[in-house]
Amino acid sequence: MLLTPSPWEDPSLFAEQVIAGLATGSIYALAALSVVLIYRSTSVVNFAQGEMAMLVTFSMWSLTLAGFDAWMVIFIGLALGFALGGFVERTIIRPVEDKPHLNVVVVTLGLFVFINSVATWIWAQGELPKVFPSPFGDDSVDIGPASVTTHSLGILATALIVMAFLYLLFNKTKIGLAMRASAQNPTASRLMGINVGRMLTLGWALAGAVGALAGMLVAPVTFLYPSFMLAVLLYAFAAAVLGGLDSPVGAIVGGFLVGVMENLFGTYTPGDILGPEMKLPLTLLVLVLVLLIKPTGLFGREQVRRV
Amino acid sequence: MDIWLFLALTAGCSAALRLAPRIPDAYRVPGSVLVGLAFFVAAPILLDDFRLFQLSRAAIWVTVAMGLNMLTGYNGQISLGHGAFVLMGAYTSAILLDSESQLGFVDATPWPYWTTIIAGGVIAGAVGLLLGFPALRLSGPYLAIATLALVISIPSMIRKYDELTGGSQGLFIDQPEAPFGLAEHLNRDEWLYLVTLFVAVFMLVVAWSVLRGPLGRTFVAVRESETAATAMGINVARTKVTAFTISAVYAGVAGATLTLLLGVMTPESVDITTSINFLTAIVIGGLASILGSIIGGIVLVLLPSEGPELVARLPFVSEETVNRAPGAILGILVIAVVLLMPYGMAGAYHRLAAQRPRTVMRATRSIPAGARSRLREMRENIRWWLEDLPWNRAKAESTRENGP
Amino acid sequence: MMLRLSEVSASYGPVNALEGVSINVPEGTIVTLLGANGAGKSTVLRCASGLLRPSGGTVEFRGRQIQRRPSEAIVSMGIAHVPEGRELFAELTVEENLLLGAYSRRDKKGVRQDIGRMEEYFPVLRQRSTQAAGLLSGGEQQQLALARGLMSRPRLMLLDEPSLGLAPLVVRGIFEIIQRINKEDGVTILLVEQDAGLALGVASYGYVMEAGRIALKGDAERLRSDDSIRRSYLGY
Repeated sequence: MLLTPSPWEDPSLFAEQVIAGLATGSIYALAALSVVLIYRSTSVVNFAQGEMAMLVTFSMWSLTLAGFDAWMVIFIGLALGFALGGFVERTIIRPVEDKPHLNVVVVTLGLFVFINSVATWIWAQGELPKVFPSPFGDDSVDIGPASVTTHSLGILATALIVMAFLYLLFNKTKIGLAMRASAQNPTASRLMGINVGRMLTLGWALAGAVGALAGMLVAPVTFLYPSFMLAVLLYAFAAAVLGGLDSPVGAIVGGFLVGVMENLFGTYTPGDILGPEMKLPLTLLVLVLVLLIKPTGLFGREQVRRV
Repeated sequence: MDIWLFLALTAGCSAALRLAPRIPDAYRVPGSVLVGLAFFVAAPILLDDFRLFQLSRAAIWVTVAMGLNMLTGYNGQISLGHGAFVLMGAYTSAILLDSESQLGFVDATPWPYWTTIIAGGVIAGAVGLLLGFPALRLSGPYLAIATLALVISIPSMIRKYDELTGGSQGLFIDQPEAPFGLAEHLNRDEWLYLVTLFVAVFMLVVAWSVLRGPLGRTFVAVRESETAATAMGINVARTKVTAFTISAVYAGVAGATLTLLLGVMTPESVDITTSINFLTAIVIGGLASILGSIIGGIVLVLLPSEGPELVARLPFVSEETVNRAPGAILGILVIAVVLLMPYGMAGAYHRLAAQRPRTVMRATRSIPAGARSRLREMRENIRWWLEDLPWNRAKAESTRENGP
Repeated sequence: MMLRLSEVSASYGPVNALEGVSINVPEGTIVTLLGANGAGKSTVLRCASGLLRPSGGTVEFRGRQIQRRPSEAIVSMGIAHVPEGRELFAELTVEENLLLGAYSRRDKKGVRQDIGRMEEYFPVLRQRSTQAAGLLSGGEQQQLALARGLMSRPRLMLLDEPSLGLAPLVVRGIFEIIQRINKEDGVTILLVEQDAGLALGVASYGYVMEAGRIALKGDAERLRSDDSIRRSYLGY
């Protein structure tokens, strides 16, 4: 028996949930973009993405205590994220890039644990969670039956801008083409005159910046504590995979779908057989079903293999 | 005996038999295996209960690692979700052993415990068989995320259907004692250790015989190139599903044994972190290697609890740092191992074992020479980098166009 | 001298692939490298393009030593290497592959013009311009690989077995293009081939390799009429 009225009985509740889902979805979309960025430019899934973003966000939080305003902090955070991403690639990822693929995965897992622990050590000694300011302010706006914060609208706009940036970068610029080539065939890329190492570093640096941006925009909503990116990143990976790991458009669409599904499953599942606590498994089930139909995600490019 | 001394002796004696110069080749591998086994069997006498408990858990993880290694190391399919199969096997065992029957059609008498181990393997294997087919469609990171979705979802389902599974509180079982007259000599913990050891050794022997036969070669062939394998007449789909099923059986057996060891089973007994760490364990231990699975299982238990402490014993590390950020030390250790031993600890060992002792000595002496050439390379790289800077390059290009 | 290898030796780990190899490629000529499988022909090309670092000897390109430079630098100096197996970017389109060939160039208009020229030389590329390179047939892929190499306006092209796996008619077309490139654009070519008859038909000078060393060398005319070559490599 449904405890909540169906969408036909109460359309405004439905609309509210959808809009709320789009709001959270844009968070997932932004985080998913950084996952896609690294995958597209280096063929690697970086499990430490969230922790790197968290590290930058916490550092920026310290700056806000020193009086820097929210917008300044965003730009400094972008730069720091860029530097951190490039540094990580150059130091610990580079040596394992040409080794069995799983080695890189495990290195990112080790990095995850390392950063989480260090961040806890530095910042978690005081009281948690911390408050992080939003550059978009605290107001709310009414859209139809639902009330949406300006911050959510800001996240949405940011996600779309980043998506456009990435799309243009990869498809319309020479360096974006070089990055894609380096990820697919490093040997041939070198023969084209491309410095493959530099492309990989650039890919990670950009992903670090986008990740940091995601972290700084998520923190005002979820508040700041060492594991705050964990849940987000789980949904972000799901969104990136759903949309196709090599598609920025897919990351956005995937993010929205995941956000909306999470909300709808939470609201509309019958309490006896399933229930709101099953919203995560149900969302993941939809993801797996989509993958079975489209093994590389909704917008992912099919693997072209000709022996 | 200190656990590190124990492990050092085991590894040392085992390796000595494998690498020492004057042993007939036919006896090398069997000898080293038997020596290692002897140490592990003697552990109840040598170690205290807590360490024994850790080794019991390690034996269970070794079983999981072996199954996962067959799937990922030998067959190339990545799974982050094997914790789910472990939980399935564990709950199968717990439900069958529980004295208040959770199933309507099975009477309330608990099953004999060794049968529940088999049942755990069967149930997990059945689910593995079912899931192996859709897994055929996915590969690489997509498969990894799909399996992750599995292990994330299982605890929620376990909590939800609590009439069967005891929900969040879990199920308690009566742990088995040593049989016949042995109960006088072995307390329960020691007996349970021997049970887990026996299960691990048994499953390892089965794995060894499977992997050195045609199926093992088929696994590797499919991993290397599905197209080439098909051209050779191999049924790729059947191979991959078989690998998936077998690895699920291993995880299920291990899970059932885990229930026996812990005496209780809750949805949190095998969490997502542990499931992901199975993969870490086999990478650190060594992919596509039986020894690697053994090392991986042991590392999985000992590294998180003992690693930071061990590092704290180093002269230049302060204890305070380690206590405040143990995870940082752990992360560094994991990264360091992967960077220094890209083929896992077993990989490094096998490389060593393939050389003759004199070559190893020569290799260590050539390290400074290697470092010197590496420095020379770095100097040259810096020179080329300087030449490549846009203003320098433009200068070089213009001299090239206009002639020397 | 466009390319000069002097006493080059190279190895893959413990396996010695080249031993004391000396090869001269004069400007504007086509020089061919013949030999059985595993003789070391591809290894020579790899040393010249920087994919493999020789353990001894020198490689000079237009008078400058390049044996220790990384590939990306060497390629920008004017060498194009079309490797064994072509190494196309299978998931990128034909046009993207061509653009990547011109990566080291800065003149956008020239690059556009050259794409047009390549489509003229190889009409099939225009038809399949937006298709993924991996979907092309073997012959089309070889044409794309050649075109991609040409996009960098190289002084020297290193071609590794362009006839491999292709139908005879297609091969003839490819070799006509190779000659055209050499005569019309003045590109020097070092050609590795297993099909000795074909190679000696377009080259002016040849080297025959065996087990990592140069076994025989001479003018293409002379090599074609040499008895041992005829018997071992030309089959009559």
